Amino acid sequence: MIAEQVAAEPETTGGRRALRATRRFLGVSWLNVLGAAIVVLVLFLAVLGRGIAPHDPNELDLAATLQGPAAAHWFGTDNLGRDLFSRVLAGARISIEVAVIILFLSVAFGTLLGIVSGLVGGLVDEIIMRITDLFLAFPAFILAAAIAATLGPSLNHTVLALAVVFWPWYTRLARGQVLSLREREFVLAARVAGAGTMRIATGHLVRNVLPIIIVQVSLDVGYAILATSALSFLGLGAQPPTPEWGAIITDGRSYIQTAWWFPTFPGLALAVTVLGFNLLGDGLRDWIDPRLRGSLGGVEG
Amino acid sequence: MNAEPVLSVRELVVRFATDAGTVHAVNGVTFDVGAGDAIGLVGESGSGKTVTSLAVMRLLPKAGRIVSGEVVFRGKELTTLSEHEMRGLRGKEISMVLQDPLSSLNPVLTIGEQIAEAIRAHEDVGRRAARERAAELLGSVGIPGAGDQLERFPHQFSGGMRQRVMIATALVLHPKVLIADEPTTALDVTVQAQVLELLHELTKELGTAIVLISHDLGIMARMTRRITVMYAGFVMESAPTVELFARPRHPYTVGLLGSIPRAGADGELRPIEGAPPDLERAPVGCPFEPRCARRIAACRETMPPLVPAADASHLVACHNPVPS
Repeated sequence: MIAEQVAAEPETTGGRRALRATRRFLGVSWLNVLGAAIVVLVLFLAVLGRGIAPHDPNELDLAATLQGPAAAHWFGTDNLGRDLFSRVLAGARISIEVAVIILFLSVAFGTLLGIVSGLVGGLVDEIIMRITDLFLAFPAFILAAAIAATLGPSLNHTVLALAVVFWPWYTRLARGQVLSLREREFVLAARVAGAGTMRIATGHLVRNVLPIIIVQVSLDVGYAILATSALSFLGLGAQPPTPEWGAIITDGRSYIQTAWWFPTFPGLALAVTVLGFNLLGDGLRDWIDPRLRGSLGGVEG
Repeated sequence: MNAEPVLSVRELVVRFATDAGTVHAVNGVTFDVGAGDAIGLVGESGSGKTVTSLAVMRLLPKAGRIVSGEVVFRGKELTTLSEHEMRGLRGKEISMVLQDPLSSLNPVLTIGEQIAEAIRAHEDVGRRAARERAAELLGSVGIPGAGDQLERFPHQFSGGMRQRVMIATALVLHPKVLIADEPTTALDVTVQAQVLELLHELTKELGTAIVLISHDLGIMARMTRRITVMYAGFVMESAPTVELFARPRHPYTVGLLGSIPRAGADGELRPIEGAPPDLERAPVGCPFEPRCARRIAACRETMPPLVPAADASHLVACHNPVPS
């Protein structure tokens, strides 16, 4: 199929190929469209939210506390009169930033370690795998909570704690891929050309492992956002007045009977965002899986 | 043969430790390559050709081990070199082209990136400079529109083009020795000729010595000046190419030459009866003895040494060689 496509359109540039791939991906299922739409919307709001927001998210207005949703305050106001719509928008930016940092840290560290582990094998592999076992043996969320609590409550510590929880998954994933890749002749060809283990890992195998890592990342973004909010909800993450969704929900929890909008809107934002990333991730995984056999496990063309 | 061999393999012994026992893959292989020379290693599958070349590169699979022997490259003993020192030699001083050009290229990297990687493994050049060298190189191996081709992926290239890329990559740093392990086996016959021609021209131009590994005697006749015939990890016969074809002395070589089909020749093909020996047994006597028409009592007892037959350049390891 790939070969045909290439033969038919040999002049295809990278950009147009990406565009066509995107169109094909969206054509598979309306869930893919929904997931992609939510993700694009959330990213858009995260980047431009500050410009859209009608109020400063931390601006107090004690004359207008706990107002219901209205034209002036779409999502109402909280117990200190802050505009909840502006706070939820600001929360989108925080959630995305936090997810990006968590995943960047865990993917960069975990993937490279996994590739080296699979490539070098022997004792190095054994040691790295036992370390990942150690981390994976703990319930992830409890480990993250313990780390965050030990370091002291703050958003930065939450990010660090979640990165510590996430990296072993990427190490395992990358190692598994490399175990099959390293028997391939192009690895021998690279060695013949004088490449060492690190050069093969960074110059060759990263690219082979990347598609499956990207799929895993798209699935994990939702989880990272959810976990951050959960830790913030427990008081271990973002501290007041940071408009992090979990933190806003904590504040609003006790008002659920008198001011339902206070915990509901940040909760909805969180749920929809996580849903969007999960739909996108699921779609990507299903879509890329048969192709993985072509580009990673077997022979293309 | 030149007086000063650039690569000299002496009594190389390689064994593999497997669950089933020890595999005696290479049992004392000896050959020399002079600077700019072309020699061939010929033999059927499992005769130890590839293992020998991987041993020279020190890239044997984990189970394999060089038990004894010497590999001397420009006066330097390679078998005791550190991995770091070996890495500096691979691709730069001694290069290798593998059998299957499709699987030798990484499917997810562009052609340009792969050539650049090979350059950057040894030279501290930027990506841009490496790409320029790669473009130049593709042109030199007869791939038109080299600049655009750099952006292509391996699956967009034909088998012949891929092998050209591999040859180009192997020669990019002007190595002193190129080991070509069945470089054309995976290719169409028409493409084979072109690729061999290219290999011949480039190595001649750069003065690269070539060790050609093949089971195809036709290719050997065209490409090499000297041929070493291997069987079950032993050198059976070693002679200048012309001499070997004209006056083969070892019964196995005679058998090999007799099993080449020739158009117009009367008489049947004469395959060598039987199968190669089990390499898991420790070799006693000549490994070809069970299949040999000229075997004598001594063949069961001892492996004959590789000694000059008619003249000093024609070596044969046989108790009862074919009379010339």
